[in-house]
Amino acid sequence: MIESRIDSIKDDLELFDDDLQKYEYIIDLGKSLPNLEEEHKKDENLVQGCTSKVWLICEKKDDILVFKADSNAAIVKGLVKIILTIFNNLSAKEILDFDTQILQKLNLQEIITPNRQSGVQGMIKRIKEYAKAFA
Amino acid sequence: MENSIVSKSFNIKDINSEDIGILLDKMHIAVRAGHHCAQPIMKKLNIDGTIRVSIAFYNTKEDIDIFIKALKKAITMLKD
Repeated sequence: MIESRIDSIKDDLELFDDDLQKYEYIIDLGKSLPNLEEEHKKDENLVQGCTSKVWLICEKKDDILVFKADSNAAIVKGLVKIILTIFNNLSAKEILDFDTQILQKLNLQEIITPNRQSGVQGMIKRIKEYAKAFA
Repeated sequence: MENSIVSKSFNIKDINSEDIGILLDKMHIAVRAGHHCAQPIMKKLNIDGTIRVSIAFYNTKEDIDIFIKALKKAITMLKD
């Protein structure tokens, strides 16, 4: 399930030969992500390792984890949307069983600076922590 | 400031400085974005960072025009 989601995102990203167009696509992805309610934009929901701010929250509905997130930067918000598309609406077990190395398929290192990569890693780490807590 | 041609720091309303920095980079324009290791003043101004641009002896007037055009494009891409 997660892998097919990643493959689908990979296909979309590969449509663009031009870097700027790829960024435009990522920015537009971010614009499609609903803003997180202000009450959730507090320090305890901040993801470590992000140059820009990323807030991430998680709720368990039945056995499914629902993540909501937001960022104060447009490009990062697009990346947040990508990560949420991959990890949202899965069980804690599915998330914990997932080998994050597979994310390298997305070649995000070509798109984002090392600082922002650590933000993406920080976000995935937090998602796994939530999954552990809700398992 | 009026007659100064040294580095200029600025922000675009409601746009993160690093987003501008990344897009300008993709348009082959090098600026610095972020807090420039000057966190105390950023905190005082209550901002996360700025875009900082400067010209050097090798830059031409045309370079500045290209920069302005690229900046406008980046703003268009980032605005809602």
